[in-house]
Amino acid sequence: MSELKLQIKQLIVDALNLEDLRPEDIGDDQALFDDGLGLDSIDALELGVALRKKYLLKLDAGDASVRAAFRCVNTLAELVHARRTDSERTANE
Amino acid sequence: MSKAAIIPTQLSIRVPVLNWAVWPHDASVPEGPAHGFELQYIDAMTRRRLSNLTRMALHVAGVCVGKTPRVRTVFASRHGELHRTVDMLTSLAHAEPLSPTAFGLSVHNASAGIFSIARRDRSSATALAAGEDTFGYALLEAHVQLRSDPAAPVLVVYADEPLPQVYAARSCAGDRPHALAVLLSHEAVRDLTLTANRSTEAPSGGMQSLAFLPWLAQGESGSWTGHRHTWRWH
Repeated sequence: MSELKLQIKQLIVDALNLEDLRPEDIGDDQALFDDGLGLDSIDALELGVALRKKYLLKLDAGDASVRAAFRCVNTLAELVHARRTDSERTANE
Repeated sequence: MSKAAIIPTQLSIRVPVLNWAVWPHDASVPEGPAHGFELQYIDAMTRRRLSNLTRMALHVAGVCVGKTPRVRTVFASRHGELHRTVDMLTSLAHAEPLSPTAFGLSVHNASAGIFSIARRDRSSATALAAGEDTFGYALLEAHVQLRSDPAAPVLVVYADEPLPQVYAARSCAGDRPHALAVLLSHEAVRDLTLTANRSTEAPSGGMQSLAFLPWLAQGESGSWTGHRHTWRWH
């Protein structure tokens, strides 16, 4: 799980071009939006696209549990862990 | 009316130039990693989303405009954000979701919009493309705007980069990433005289905007011929 969290942090930095930030600078429980990391609504969309591409997730923006999962890295990792459909998961099982 | 009749046989304008800026500073330096941009006037959250093309354009725009509080702008590019467009088309072809950032900033007036927002300047902004003659038409557009309101300066910003690989067959000889800005104002320090005639000779090849650089740097007169017009300047 900690490896998955680091992967997600790297994805956040890469997909959102957070040039001055290293993945390890993002706290597992740090809020991604508003007062936390300061990301905005376009970032949320961009991050959704990146997650869908990388983990072949099926995300529905109207799904309240998906919206709640975008709170921090911990919650995103849980979402990815529960829903990923890519080959990596198959290999792990 | 025949098509030829609507093209003026001779265009001649005099453009007062107050300031200018070019990127890269030294045209003889081969293209390398994009660096040396002065973009501090754009907030970091916006800046990180900008393409290389927009960074080049906004760098020369910011340097050229200096402390001038309000300017009308004419942002011009022959190819615009074609790299973003090709990336998005590639995503579509692979049935992948599109990047919202790429989508939002792929429009031809992306640089003009960011410039206006960053400077909190609601002066009129124009985004222009006119094929291989784009740079000349940008100067013409700015000239006309200055004529209509001589008191307010007009900033011309031009930026282009080589075509994406998929369009390599249509690429222009000697093309490289470059940007230039010219500030037109009646407080000018020098005048540019620009003429255009219907072309009767073979195209020069190469980018019109690059052909213009020696005038900016050293005041060298020059000319460039495309498929439609021959442009001369001194």
